[in-house]
Amino acid sequence: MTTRYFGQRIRRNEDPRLLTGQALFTDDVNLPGTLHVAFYRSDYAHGKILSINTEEAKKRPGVIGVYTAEDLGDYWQRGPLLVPPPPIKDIVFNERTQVPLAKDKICHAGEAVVMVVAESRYIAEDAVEDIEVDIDFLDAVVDIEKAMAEDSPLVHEDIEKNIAAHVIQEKGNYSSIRDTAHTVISRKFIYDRGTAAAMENRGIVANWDERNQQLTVWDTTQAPIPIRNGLAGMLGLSQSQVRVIAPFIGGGFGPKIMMFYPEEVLIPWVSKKLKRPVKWIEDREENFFSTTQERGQVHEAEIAVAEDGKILGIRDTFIHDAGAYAPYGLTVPINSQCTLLGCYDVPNYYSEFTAVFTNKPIVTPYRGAGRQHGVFVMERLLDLAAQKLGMTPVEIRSKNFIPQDAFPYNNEIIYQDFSPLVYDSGNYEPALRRAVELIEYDKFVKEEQPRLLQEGKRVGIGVVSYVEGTGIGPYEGAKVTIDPSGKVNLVTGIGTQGQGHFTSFAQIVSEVLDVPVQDVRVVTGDTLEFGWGAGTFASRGAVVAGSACHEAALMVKKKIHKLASEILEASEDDLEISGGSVQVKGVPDSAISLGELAAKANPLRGAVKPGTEPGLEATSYFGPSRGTTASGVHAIIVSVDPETFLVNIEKYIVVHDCGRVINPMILDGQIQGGVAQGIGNAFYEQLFFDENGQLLNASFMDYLLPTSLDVPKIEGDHIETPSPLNPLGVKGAGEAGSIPVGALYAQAIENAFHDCDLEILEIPLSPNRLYEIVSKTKTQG
Amino acid sequence: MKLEGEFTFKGSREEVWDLLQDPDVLITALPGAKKMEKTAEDKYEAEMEVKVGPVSGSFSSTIELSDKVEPESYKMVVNGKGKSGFVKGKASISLDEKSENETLMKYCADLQVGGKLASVGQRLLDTVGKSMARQSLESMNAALEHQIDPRAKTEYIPPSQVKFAVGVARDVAEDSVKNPMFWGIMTIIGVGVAAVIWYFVK
Repeated sequence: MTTRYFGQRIRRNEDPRLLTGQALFTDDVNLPGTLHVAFYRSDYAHGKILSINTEEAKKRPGVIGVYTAEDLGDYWQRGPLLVPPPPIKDIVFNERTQVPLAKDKICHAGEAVVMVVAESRYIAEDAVEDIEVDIDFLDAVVDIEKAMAEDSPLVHEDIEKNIAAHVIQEKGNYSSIRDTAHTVISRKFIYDRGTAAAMENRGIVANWDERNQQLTVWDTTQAPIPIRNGLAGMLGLSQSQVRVIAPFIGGGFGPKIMMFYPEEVLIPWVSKKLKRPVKWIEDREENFFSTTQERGQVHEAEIAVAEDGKILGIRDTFIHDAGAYAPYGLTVPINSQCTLLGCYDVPNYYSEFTAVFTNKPIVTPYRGAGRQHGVFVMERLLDLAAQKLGMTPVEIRSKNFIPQDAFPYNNEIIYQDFSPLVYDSGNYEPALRRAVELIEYDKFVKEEQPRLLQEGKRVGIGVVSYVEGTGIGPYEGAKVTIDPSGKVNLVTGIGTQGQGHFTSFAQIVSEVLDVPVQDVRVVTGDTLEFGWGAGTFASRGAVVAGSACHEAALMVKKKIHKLASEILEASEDDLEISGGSVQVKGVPDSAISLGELAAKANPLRGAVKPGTEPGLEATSYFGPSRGTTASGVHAIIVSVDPETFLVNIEKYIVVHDCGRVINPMILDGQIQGGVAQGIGNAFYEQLFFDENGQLLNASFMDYLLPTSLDVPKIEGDHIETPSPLNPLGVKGAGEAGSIPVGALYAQAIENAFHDCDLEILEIPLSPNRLYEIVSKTKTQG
Repeated sequence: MKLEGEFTFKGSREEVWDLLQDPDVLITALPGAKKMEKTAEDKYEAEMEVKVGPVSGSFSSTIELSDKVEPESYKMVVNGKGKSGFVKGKASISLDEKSENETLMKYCADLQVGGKLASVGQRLLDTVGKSMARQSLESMNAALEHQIDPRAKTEYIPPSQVKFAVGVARDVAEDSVKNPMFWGIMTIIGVGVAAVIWYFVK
């Protein structure tokens, strides 16, 4: 009887190292002779560079080099377009990616203009203050609704009306059914910007070894392999001359995959140029400007429903804030467009968006990556329709869920991975029922709420559902090796930012090879160890890399059986692997440990037969045909302070379905963290820009993150609807926690003010914003 | 950032007019000013060394006067740049005779504030700006009174930097100036040149 590892609550292998401060982060890399970098960044959001004077900076003792765009020569190139536009008919796409250092023009506040390299960061920072940059101020594009106006300034002079892209996707024919609808509801919805605020900022250490002609880069990237490939190309090196290590990273959340950040391009270049190790660690203030952000969209949306609450169609037109450059293509707005459809059977859908350039920091995916916006619009429309029709939020959702027997369900539009948006599997009704049960919906509405209202307390309940497209391609790989010690080495190309890969991947391999999880040594994010793959994004690690781990383990298992059958002179079918050994079934005396077998597979005498390989090792790759769709239901009870309008969470339930669960404890952690980020997005975090593109709250004094006091312990349950698209039946879970929280807050707060006809049509909220909305509603009422 | 307000000086229009053009007086009333020079007709340069809290470095401004109708009104263009950001904008100032010895100053400024000044200092910028304006205008009024009658009881002692700092701190703590209409030429220069300091002094 073998032990089960897959699906167990196993403590994380990496935690002792992390909790005792022994784990390696980028800033822990301190090589002798390291030089340090600081950047001169523009105070202006939009302007022409008239002159740059670096003479004083160069004279400062300890300064090794000062570089402007001119000094980069041919190395000055625009960053690559990471994701080309998807194959959608009549798409408009105006490519404009970021530059390493601003040359002629500043497009957002905080854009790097000059790089200073010095013996210490102190000297570098002081030298930055010696630099004089004369910038001719230009009016800025800030409000996305005004960006396309005839008289609007242009972020990029050659791009008309600041239009980065225009996309229409359609399913059925919305206009043909609109007039037949019992009820049509239209509203404008606003979702504003926030920042991921990872605990660890970005950082890069590069070391060019002149004698070995080898470049090593430690980088807080979510995509070490693409960074290596890109750097090799840019620097004229072979890929084997560049090693990129993504060590432990204190939070990725998407912005750390925006390869190539200017700093990622410049630090390796200057290390090679100066033949010395060079380090740059982003400070928090820089992070507010130079790390990518997300979430600015304005939607004009409409829902058409039948009398019984069945959705007949949705029409949505929205503007997406792309920021100053758009290296990530259309991933975010396409996600909004697709995720809006949610768990529901929507026969007719018209969705049109325009992405616009603005003089604000670059927008790339940030946990949720556009999904929040779509979910917010859809869930709000459903709530408004339910109210009009006299239904409860639970009833209208239940009415419109895609039935279990309708999968795979084709939404007939194109997703971010360029495949048709086809949901592989799902079972939405049980999750809703379970959430309603756990939050005690009926009891709250019938007993609790009336009682508390009588006591003068404002309390509200909310229940929303959502889907999360996860586990997209192209592919990932893994290599499994049995060490002569009997321990297992597992190497994969993706990087890790706290997801528990050292445990969940080990569990997958342990399940196949029946070795303790602690005996599987996992290596991630080192291109020397594994050089093929894409990266950690789109909730794909467990699905894509996890499946590759599984396949590689199965291949090694086959090799174990084959070799053992020769040594034990037994048929492969008669062998079993158990407790780190292989033996003839029922004959414990025949057992050979896996370590011993590994040694025998690598003999010092004799020959490896043609067609075979030495060692007990295998590499496998997995590329899913398309993404797998996870789903969930969040439910909340809130109380709103009638004086301060602070919203307190009394109870928070998540019932989540990400297929088969590898480690429920790790999944709970992902959900908890995601919800925390969602709560921040819904009620605390908002970046405020003035009309000149100046960010007005670029510090944690003014940009409020939820604290442990604001985030309750999330309770809930898991529903397991396996994905048919991968051998493990797993789906991604990385973004699930954060996606529906805005929609949930809106419904629950409206419910708490149900006597005031309050409508929440925007996120983020805050106590003062909520006060304003309530006051306005009362005045109008 | 839009600033508007008025202030009553105890002096004639001509006296106030001269006062407002006199860099030697302005420098004493301007929080933190190191240098103020008339570089050309109607052009001024102000400079200061900033070394308070986490901020250090120099902050320099140019002020250009135009559309002068002596002693009634003038306009100005302000351009301030420092390690902690920038302030730039336009302002207009008018002087009305309130009575024989009282002059009402009205002013209106439209300023763009950027850099660390905006991104970190925004929350207190208004209060600090108003506080500086109030103190600057009061100092100038005291100087004016002294100029007009050197034997007057109110002896003019240019306020020390510490006194300015204490004043700003008190105003920030009170979260607003009693009379928010106290504004003037010093506001524009003041915010441009010194808001940074006072914010960090708070």
